[in-house]
Amino acid sequence: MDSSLLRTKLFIPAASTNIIHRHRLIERLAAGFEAGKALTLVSAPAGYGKTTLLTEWVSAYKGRTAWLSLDERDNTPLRFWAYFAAALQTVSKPFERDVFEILESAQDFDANRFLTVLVNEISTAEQLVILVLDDFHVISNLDIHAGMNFLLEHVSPSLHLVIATRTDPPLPLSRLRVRGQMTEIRIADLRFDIQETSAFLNDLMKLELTESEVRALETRTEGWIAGLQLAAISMQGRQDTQAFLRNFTGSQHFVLEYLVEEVLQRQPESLQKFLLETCILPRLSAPLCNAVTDSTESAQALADLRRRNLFVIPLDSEHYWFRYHHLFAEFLKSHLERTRPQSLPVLHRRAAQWFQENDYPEDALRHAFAIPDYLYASRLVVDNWRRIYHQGRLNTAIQWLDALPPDFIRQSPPLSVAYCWTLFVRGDYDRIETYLDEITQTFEQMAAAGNLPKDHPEYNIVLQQVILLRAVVMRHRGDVPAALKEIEQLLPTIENLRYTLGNVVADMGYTACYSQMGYTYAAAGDLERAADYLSRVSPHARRCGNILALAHTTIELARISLLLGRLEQAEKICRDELSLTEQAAYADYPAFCLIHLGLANVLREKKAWDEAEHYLRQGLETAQKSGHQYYLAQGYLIATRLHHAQGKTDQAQNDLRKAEQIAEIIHNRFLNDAIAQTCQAMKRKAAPAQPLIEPLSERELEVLRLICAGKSNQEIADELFIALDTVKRHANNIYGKLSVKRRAQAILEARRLGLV
Amino acid sequence: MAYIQGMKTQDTASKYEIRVQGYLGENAAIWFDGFDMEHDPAGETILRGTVMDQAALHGILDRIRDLGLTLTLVRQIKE
Repeated sequence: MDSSLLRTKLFIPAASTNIIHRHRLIERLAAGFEAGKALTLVSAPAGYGKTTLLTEWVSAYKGRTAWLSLDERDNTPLRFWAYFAAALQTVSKPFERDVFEILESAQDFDANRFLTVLVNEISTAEQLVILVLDDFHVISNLDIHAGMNFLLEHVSPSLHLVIATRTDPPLPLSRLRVRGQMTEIRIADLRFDIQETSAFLNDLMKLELTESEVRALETRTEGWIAGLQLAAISMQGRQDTQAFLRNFTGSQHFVLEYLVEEVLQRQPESLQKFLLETCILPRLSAPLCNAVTDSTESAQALADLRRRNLFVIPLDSEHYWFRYHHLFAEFLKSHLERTRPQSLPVLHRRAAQWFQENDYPEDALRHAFAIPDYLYASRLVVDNWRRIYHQGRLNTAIQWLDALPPDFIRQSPPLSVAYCWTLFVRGDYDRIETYLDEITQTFEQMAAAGNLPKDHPEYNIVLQQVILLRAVVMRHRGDVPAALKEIEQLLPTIENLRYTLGNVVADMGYTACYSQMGYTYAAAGDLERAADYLSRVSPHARRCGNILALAHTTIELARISLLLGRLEQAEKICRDELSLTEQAAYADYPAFCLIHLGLANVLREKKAWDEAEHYLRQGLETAQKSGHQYYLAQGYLIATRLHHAQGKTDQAQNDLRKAEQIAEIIHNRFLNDAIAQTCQAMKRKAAPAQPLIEPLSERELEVLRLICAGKSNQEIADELFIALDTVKRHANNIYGKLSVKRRAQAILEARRLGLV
Repeated sequence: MAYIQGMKTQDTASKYEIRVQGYLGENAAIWFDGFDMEHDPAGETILRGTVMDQAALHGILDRIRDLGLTLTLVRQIKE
């Protein structure tokens, strides 16, 4: 999530000094709040000054206020609650657990669980907080409404919710009303009465209108503030005020449509053009407007609009981002659509390009969809998903892919590959295979038609990825030999890529191949080979910038070295990567906390408690700072083991609980496995060693000792002069008697029982 | 969800009449694409058109809300 744009959503709009103060309404709001009512509801159509009223209230209030401006993209539980939590964090002490980023790493968001955590966090807050949810009508998702209901029922008096909306939300409003638990401000309260209309037109806008003229305007606009404001702007500096009033009040035309036309016509031509060309932008900045209007005058134009009071609202305190008042923008858009429909795609394309160049892929996509140009949108997704994915922002990647028409994904091999990785994390292997088959088919058809883009880097990358994905699926299904076969056929082709497509593509290939070979051999229990392949990853991963792979392979390598009894080597691997990284630009990548954590784990084995604690703290800190919940949970598991080994049982239990809490929210398969392993390790360590129910034979013991020495099955066969199949049978018997499933576990268990 | 509800109650296109206060002009016609627009002497705009299903109808009602228009009537026209 881009922090500058996030800030604009959480920015409390500055209270304008140039307004009619609404003391009576402010008093009602304050009284309801002080009486400890659960909710304030400000419900009225657009243009009745809901936001202005609330900013006036909260700017006078000296306590803590949080603000969230919702938009139509926030209508998913994940995103809504992420912003909800982020808004609260702007004013409360940091939550003990980072509720915000839980959400990005969640695979299957559990709103109830999340809300329970949130309610606990809120109720421990020391100070009263007001949270304003502006434009709540954009929310129609029933799960979000259910969550809001839950919050209203359970939240402590330390949070006061304020909802500003154009539609009454489906909350138990009548019950709250009857019990006197809600302050309600509605259209009748918000309309300007005759005094306020007069004060606005004559005192504030200095129009010097007669009482009957004021009354005529009040009647015509029915106290609708947006209408009065536009009418005032239309009259300012006009000689023939009376003619305007006659025409306007005599017309039956819809107030706003009439007035926007009127106001627009009265602006200098350059400003008219600016307004029409920029009204498609949900938010404006001078550089963005320059790009969209193809000019260099935008800063001046924005300043002019603000001076003329033309509904330009600042979105941050630096006055960098602005937006138009929604109603005003809507009318400008319809004018543009009617008068210059052909310019719409051009303007959206320029906006998309500016956002793309300035690295706001999400906004670039929004405009690409508005054109709509799915090919362009597809390219944006292809160009950006990998980076987003490697940052762990899985849900953003999924949302992008889901927004594309499914046929576009199926027909585009690079998009299919991207989609497959999101399926992989969700454990949906069947669908991965369907997509892979379709990619193969597409390529076959292209080859038959003679237009296979053989020299295109993306084509070659897709080919690599298809093979890797097949191997990954096979490995997870337990078919290790087939997985190995797939990757082995890929390996020799990579060096050729260096000459045809350059070093980066080759390095990407080696990174992926070596790491997958390593994981696969590790799964097969051939730890020596696994270590061999994993140790080759680092230079390639560094050169092509795949930091995620670098961090993950490093800790896997350290783990395997430990299993092989090579404590010194495990330590060296972690320390080497750390020292290489400290000089690198990507030292603060979240994934690097894994290396700190890995080193802490190695140092635990060495019983170097103090140093282990040091690196554990460092790793946890990075994980917390980046908010990456998956890594944080892994950190708590390392902490569990470390504290358990030192006999600090309570602390270990506490660490384990924290990891489990995260797992309950993010539903990550790998995390669940890791937790199960940790529990197992702790239980086994705690229980006294049991002699085997079925003792190992002499031959089995011999094989086990060789396995523990890191020999492969073939090497054991050679050494003992027996057939490979015999070795495999012995190994299976050994696993059965030790009640383990894998070679790595057998080694651990053998050591624990003192069999080797 | 609205879409699913729409499927249950009404899954075929049907004709609606919608009235709002004030005369809408050419600009507004863009927002109610596919609707015929007519002004009546009482100062209301009558919109008549076919909507695909209930979800589409609610989309139009949201539009009316977001433009700050005052809704005075919605009814299905049985043919």
